[in-house]
Amino acid sequence: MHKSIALSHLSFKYKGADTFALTDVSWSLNPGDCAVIMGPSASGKTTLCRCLNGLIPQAMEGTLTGDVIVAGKDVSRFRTQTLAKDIGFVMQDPEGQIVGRTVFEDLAFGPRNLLVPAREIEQKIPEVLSQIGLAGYENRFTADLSGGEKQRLAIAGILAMEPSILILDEPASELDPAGRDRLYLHLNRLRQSKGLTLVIVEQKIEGIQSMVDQVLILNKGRIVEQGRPEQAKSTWTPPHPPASNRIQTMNVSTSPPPACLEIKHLNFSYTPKAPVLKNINFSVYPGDFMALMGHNGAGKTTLVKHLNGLIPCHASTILVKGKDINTFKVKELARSVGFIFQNPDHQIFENSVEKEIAFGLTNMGYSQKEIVRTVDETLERTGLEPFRHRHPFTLGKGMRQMIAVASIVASKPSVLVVDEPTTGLDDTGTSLIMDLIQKLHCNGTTIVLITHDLALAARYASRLVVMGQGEILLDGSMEKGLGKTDVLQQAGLIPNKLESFCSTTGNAND
Amino acid sequence: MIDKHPSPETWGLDIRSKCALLVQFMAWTILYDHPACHGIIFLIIIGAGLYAGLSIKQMIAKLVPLIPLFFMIMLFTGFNSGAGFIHPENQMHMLTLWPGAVLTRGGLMLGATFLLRLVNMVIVTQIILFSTPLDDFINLFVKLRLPPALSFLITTAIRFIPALDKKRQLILTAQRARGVDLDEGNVFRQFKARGAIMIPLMVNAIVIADQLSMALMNRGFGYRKTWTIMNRLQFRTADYLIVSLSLLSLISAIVIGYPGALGKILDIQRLSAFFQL
Repeated sequence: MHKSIALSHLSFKYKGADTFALTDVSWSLNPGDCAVIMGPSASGKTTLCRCLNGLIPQAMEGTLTGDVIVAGKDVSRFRTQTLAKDIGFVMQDPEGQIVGRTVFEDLAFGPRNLLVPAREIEQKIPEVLSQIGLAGYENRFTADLSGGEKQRLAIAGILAMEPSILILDEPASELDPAGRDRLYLHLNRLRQSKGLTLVIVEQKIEGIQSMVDQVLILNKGRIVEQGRPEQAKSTWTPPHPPASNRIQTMNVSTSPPPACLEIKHLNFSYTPKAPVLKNINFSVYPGDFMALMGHNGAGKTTLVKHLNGLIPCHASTILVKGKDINTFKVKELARSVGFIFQNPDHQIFENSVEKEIAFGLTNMGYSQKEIVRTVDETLERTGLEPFRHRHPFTLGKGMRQMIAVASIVASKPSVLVVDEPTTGLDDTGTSLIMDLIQKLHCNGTTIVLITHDLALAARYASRLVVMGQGEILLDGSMEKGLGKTDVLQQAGLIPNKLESFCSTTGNAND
Repeated sequence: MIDKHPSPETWGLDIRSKCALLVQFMAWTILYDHPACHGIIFLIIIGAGLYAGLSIKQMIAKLVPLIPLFFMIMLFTGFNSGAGFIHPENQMHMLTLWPGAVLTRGGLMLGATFLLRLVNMVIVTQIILFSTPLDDFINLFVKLRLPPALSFLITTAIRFIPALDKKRQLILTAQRARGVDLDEGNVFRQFKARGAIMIPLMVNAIVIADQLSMALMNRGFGYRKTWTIMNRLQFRTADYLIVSLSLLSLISAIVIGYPGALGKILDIQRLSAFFQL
């Protein structure tokens, strides 16, 4: 049978690298099949995808050996642009792949390059949008789309070129669970209706097993396991340890102490007709480990932008330790409320871990003696001591995220807001970060964790706040929150999975 | 991510008209040193920006990160330009820090010119990117029969600017979260604080450039030398008018700058001298 993908002894080493990113990979996939590629960070998943559509070695220099035959073509003999007719590749970050100012312009870009007649493109675009669940979006500005919509648009942009093979690198990494389910539902329909061959890089196979024909597990550039999903599952550790390993959270006293953060009647809209936050009221108490959850576009990020003064608010709407947030200077606020963002590379700029941690302290006016003492203490506390003199960019993403956390916690903020800290991290990176956050919480730091991952939230947080359409839908203990399946479903957090999660692992904070 | 653009109905100039405007503006910018000339260009550009739908706040926002650079331009040019002015009053010493470090009137004016040149370039680029869809650029490249490699390079660069700006905002947010205040302290402190933005921005710029070029290849850009034309470039009455005015302006810039024999006939030597320092 003619294979969609046939790799034979494929090895690749990036120019200047010491080790091979892929070593002796031999693998094949039948037309219309769906394969999921899994594995820890830097295991070679993205490199393999790039080899499949010729970006390696055409756009990325290095040493390639072995044969890569995709859609019956030897990819080394054709340009990526030529292969794009048959092989579609959706990269991880949707932002960088959107080229049009409107959805129509963006979707037309690929077919226009392939010289598809204008009339045909006009007919095709509504069809593709409907396939991906964005029907009627033709005239929307791409800048106005939510993260989930952008991710689907990036996929639609490739689908409009009608490839027979679709490669997707972590297509659901920024989607809420409901969005992820919808995306895979659409992809599965396409596979069934058009015979599309799918290659998907994913961290989790949960929820998509039924559509997967083959699982490929990579580690250090080698295939360590391949086969049916039920066979491969036995060797693949889930992203989070089982419930018995759960770390106990701090006890929350029955009569809460004065709030360290209070939000009273917060309303906000970017445009007058579309309110993003509607009458938000809640308090964060010392010792809280709060999970702030909700669907894409629920208003979580807008809410937290208010907490570090990036979006100004009316007087006395937000109180930090009883004081109006507007009375704080940037530095003062950073000392009280620390923020850790998804991408550590947005803040790293010094040439050693030690200097990176010291930067914030110097900036806040600490004395030299205090800086030296605090840096030592922070390195010790975060386990980064062995990397003290290393350049941050020589470390993996998990470690860079640790450095970002360390540079924030060095100034000992009483509240730490953590925005999706595990996005794009493998299970080792996730454990590293979450265990550190847990440790900080046990030492008295109040945590506000923003995440889509209900299992992760249930494992670590003691309080659950759920947002939907700019409103607080639920605010209570994690134990009680997990029981509100209707609210969790409304917020796109897939309560049916939670039920199975609870039934197998017990309650999160027991 | 692409910035929001106005609809073609509000800013319907053909890209070739915009190029003509840009060329005549460049001629005036390059040929003359007097800050008044650049001040007039500045006002015209601001007016064009407002007409295109940009707000003053949006235009200023692009200039804020360059403030330390503006300061340094003024400082170094002001103190390092003592001679070479055609008007004797411009050689007048205004302040002497030490021998060799003398602030002259001409130096100060030249500093203002350099500063305005930079400001004008930044705002013009912003207006063009804001008001011109990527489609128009590619249609122009196809029409000009540019080699695919060059077309690819320019298209990537055009997409690069808004993507990098988006990244700048994210970096700014992340640095503010750890207490970096760009507006606090003296100029040197502010300049140092900007390092915390610039270095991650440079690192991310490399990643963005890589991603963009790969994304364009994935979408088949450069598959052939041409692509499907959906909206043909079309000259309207306004375009003919703009191109004619631009041509007139370009000729004026050259004639005033290099009057030669024409200078005597048209008696424009004084005007020409006015635009020089």
